[in-house]
Amino acid sequence: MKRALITEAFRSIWKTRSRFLSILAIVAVGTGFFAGIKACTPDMMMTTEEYFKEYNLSDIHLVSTFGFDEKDLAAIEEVDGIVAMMPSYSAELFSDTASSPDTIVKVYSLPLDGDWEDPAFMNRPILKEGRLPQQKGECLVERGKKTPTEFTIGSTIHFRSDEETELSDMLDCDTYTIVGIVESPYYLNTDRGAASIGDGVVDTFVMIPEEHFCYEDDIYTDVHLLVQKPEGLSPFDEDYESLIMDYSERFEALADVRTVARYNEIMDEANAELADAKEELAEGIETQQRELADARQKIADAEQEIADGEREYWDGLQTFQEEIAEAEQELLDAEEELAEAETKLADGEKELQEGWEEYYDGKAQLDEGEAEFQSQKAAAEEGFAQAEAQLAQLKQQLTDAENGAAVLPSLIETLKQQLSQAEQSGMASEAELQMLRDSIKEQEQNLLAAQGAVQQLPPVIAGIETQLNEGRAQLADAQQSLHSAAEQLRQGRKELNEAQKQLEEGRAELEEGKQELADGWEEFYEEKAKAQQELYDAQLKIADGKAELEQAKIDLAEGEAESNAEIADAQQKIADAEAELADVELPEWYIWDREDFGGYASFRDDMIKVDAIAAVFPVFFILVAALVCLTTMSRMVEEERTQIGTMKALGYSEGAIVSKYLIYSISASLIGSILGLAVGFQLFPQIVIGVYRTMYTIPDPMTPFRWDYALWCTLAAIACTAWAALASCRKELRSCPAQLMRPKTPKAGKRVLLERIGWLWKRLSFTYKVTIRNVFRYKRRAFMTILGVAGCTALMVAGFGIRHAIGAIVTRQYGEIFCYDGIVALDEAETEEKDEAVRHILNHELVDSGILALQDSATVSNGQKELEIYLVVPSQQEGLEDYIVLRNRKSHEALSLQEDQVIINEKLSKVMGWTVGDTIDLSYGELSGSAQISAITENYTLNYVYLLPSAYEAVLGQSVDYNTVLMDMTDPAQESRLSKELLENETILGISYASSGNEKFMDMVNSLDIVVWVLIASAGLLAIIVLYNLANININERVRELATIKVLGFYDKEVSSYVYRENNISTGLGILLGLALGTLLEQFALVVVEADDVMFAPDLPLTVFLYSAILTVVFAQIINVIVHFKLKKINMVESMKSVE
Amino acid sequence: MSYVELKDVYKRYQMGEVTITASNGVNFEIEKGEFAVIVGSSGAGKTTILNILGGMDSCDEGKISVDGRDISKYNAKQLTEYRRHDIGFVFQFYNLVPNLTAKENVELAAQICKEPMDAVEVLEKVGLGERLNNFPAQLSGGEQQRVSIARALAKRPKLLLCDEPTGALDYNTGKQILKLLQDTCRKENMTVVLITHNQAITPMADRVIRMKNSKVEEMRLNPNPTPVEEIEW
Repeated sequence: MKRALITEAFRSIWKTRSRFLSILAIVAVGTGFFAGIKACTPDMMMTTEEYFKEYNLSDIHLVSTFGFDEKDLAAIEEVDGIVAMMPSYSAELFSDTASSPDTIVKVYSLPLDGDWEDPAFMNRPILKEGRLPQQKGECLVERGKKTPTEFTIGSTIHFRSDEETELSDMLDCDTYTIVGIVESPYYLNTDRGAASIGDGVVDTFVMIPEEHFCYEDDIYTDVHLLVQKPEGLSPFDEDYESLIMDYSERFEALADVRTVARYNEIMDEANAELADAKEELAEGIETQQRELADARQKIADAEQEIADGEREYWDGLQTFQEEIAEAEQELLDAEEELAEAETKLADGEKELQEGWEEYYDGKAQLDEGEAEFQSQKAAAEEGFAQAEAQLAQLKQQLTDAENGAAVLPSLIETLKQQLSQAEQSGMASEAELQMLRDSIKEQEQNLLAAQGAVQQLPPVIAGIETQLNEGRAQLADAQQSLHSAAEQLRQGRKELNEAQKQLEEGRAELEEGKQELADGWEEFYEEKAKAQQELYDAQLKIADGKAELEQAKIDLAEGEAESNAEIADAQQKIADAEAELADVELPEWYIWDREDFGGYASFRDDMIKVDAIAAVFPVFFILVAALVCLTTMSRMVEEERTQIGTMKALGYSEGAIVSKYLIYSISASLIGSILGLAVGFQLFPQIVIGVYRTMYTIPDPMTPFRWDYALWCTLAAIACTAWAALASCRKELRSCPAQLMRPKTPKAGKRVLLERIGWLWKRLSFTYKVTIRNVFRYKRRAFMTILGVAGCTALMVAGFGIRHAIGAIVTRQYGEIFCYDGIVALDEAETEEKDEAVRHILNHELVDSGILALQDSATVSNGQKELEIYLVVPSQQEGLEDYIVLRNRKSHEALSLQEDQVIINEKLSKVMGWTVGDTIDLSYGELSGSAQISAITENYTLNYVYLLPSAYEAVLGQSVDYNTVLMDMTDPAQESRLSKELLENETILGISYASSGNEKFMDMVNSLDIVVWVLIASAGLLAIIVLYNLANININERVRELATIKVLGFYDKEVSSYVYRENNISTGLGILLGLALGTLLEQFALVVVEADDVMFAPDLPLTVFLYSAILTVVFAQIINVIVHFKLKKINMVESMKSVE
Repeated sequence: MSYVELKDVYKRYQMGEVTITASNGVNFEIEKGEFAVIVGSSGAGKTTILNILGGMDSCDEGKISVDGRDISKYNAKQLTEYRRHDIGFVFQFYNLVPNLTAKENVELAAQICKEPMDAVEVLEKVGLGERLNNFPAQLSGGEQQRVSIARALAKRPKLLLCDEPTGALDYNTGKQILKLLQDTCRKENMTVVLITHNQAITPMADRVIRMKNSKVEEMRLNPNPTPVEEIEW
């Protein structure tokens, strides 16, 4: 190719840059939209796959109602193809916070030292904020929809269990400090699963160090597994699904074996425990009896002791009283005696006084007597002295005689003894003897003489003596009398003195006695008081003893009662345990694969839906883009017709000439395509995934540049524009150079068909005539406009329509068809228990009314296809319309159940090809039969077969066993309270509320809103680019004409409206076409998206069309504004100069 | 004061770094009802003057008064109004709207005036009474120029400005068109300004303004204009 030609090509790009850019833009939008939308699903998959891989999402999650012991784990690990196994713990607990009491928290274990390389560390937390726990007592929380706002880093969480369980059976600690906020790959959406406590719905999850869990017997509650799978197999692939299905079957088989083994183990253990408990109870009873007997004996002893003590007391009291009385008497006696003594003493003193008086009288007499005596005495004394002297002579004589008479016998005797001794001895001479004998005779004569004197003298002496003595005696007598009187006086005085002394002594004694008495009294009182105190003490002691005894008796009674209660309790417990044991069911293993994880299945379904949408919508863009390119290129070739002619005339080959346009078109589409792809691959997945990120917890989307899509898109775009260039050139090149160099004859004006309808044409104003003729004149451009606008409108109709179709499900299914507020599920039970449960439900203050029904999944078949449906058997026809409305969708005519026929829903009839009067095969559990369809009812989600109990019996041959109560609430805001209170009845299994189904769909609708806005924005962009491009072509092509009317003096506004009118008509037609196309597109999209058990609202409300039309008009107006300014800028002089 | 008066009119175009002076102090005047011809070779600045006079362009300096009103100070809107009510244009290439019939092309102009002439009447006047409903493509060049003149006349303009009206026409047709213009001028007392490079046409004018190098070289009155039929070139 010649250099000049290339230069010219690029120069023309620069010169016509706005056209170049418009081709570039439309290609960019077309490819960007197409590739971007197409890339959404793969990007989403890739993002989540990587996410699952990074955070090691388990393939299978096993949960057992009894937990897993070592043997279970060993058995699980032995299953073929298990790559890694993570036994772990979980618990469902409450946490009360100010903002949301009774928050149900799913607590998961987290290995403190989780090895991020270890495949056995599954479902790793994704740290969003804070840090991972490093020690016990720390925990991680999530930022879910229902997570209490108080769960922030640094705050603490307190857990509590429900009444039936002990927190300490699960965890060793109930308070944890939040250190981090995480997400879990296990939960893709906001659904946190079902709980077995509270209102049955888990609100949020918390991860705590594994070490806190303390289930008995080293039981793990959960087992997470990774299975062997081919490298690169997407978890969203069907192969993955079937692979996991295989594993599930294996685990089901394993579960059958393990659960029985485990059951037996548990039963044995429990029975042993029960036996132990019983034994313990028996021992307990024995101990109790013994202890009671002991206690009773002790009480009896104490009673005896108290009785003894009492008796002793009474004895003591008596003794005391007696002794006291005695002592008192004694003291009184002593007092009396003392008084007597005092009297006596007083008498004595009186006597003494008298005595003393007598004495002094006596003394005076005595003194007189003495004086008399003294005088007599002196006289007598003289007579005596004479008598005495005579007498003394005589007495001397007599004494001598007596002496001789007294000594002489003894001398004689001695002499006689000496004579006898001398005679006997013979030795003494006779002289001597005679001498001795003479001495004896002399002596004897002396003796006789002395004796004779002795005999004569005494009477003389005696006479004198007698006289003397008589005198003397008289004197003596007198003296004696005096003496004796004195003596008597003295004696009296002495006596008196003695008496006085005695009296004094008596007084002293008396005083002493008195003192003694006083002392005695004092002692008496002291003793008495002491004794009384003692007695009192004794009394007190007795009273205390009695009180103690009473207490002891009460204690005994209480103790007995208590121990009896304990025993009764223990017995009850044993009975309960026995009953429980009897009720123990086989353990059940729940085998959950990713389908069952939070949001996984709905995420996959959503991705498939996005893919289906992606297959339809971008087609419009591509189509419109292609047409715009074609138009623009042909226009360009037309404009350069003269130049082509010149070139041809200069001898350039056709190829060389065409190459310029090829360069032009290819470079525009290539650059556009690259730009579009670069933006599209980012933008659309970001937006779409962004939308889904509001519903699902997935990381930032990965939006790689997808070379495969890019290549195809670019090739298609290039092919399209290049073909457009070629086709236009070929047409021109067929003409000869001369012809080409002449201006192209302006397109001849032509009458339009409408003009033939004279009456109508005449009525049109001049301007409209012009407009209409123009529209028809520039048919291709009008067609392009119409198509572009139609595409735009159609996309919007589809967007709004899909939104309505899905949104209406919520309002219709849960607002108009299912009018109940909730369904209460009943357990299989005896009739009475069920009746009780039903009463419990219907009598609840929050329940307005209810109807008993059987609702269960069953299967229908039409011979070729089987489909799972829901069987609904209301107990009666009356009042059913308060809960479920059966009606014709179009006419809203109420349908009533026939005695022996069934009503099926619309979607079911469509899927199975059934109409009224057809017979369906129905099988429910073991039962089966066939029934005739009496009517087809409006329904949007799931498939239902409705029949009356009579029909049920007729078809399935058994009476109905109701399992649900459909109910209306008085206050639908109090769902969780109702759940909690209804679940107190054991026959009531659970309550599902219409609102939750409602909410689920509302989420879907909300997310669809964004998709709809994406569609609208894209459609708007498409419309704007197409319209702008066409408007540009329009202006360029007609610049002369427009300049002319400007010269004619048309105001800017008039010039614009001259052009607008055409655009508006095209746009209007485009909108109409778009509405029709959009309806088709919407229907198509719904067919693609619709599942077997969902029917989207098949009608399209006026508003959908209205919104689409209005928005399209808005976009068209935006272009009109741009066109207006473009028109304003047209230079009349310049425009008129050029020659066409 | 004359009906049309240009005084020291300057018009400069900036082409890159070069300033082209298209009108370099143009002065002339035309009286009401005159048939004025502005003649000059290509590039002499006659079209510029016509554009400025017709309100399609504005001058940089100088004063232009038409019927006593100074249009040199008009803004875009006023110029549009001026064109709308006071000016009729006839172009070399007719500039008919191809999608409109002859009658409709006239109506296109007529509908925006205050007191337009009836389209059919005007067309009959220009001799196209039979071809009212033909599209421009169905008309010959002369016929198209007639439509163009009719379109200009329908507005009852104060000035009829013609830019080489015969440039694209053959001799005879050209003559007929000139005749039509002259007749219109005479019969309707229309002030006609005609631009041409053809010196031969000047004798038919009441006033001849000769331009050269963006200036008026000569302006002379022609007391006895020659009828078109007698002019030959």
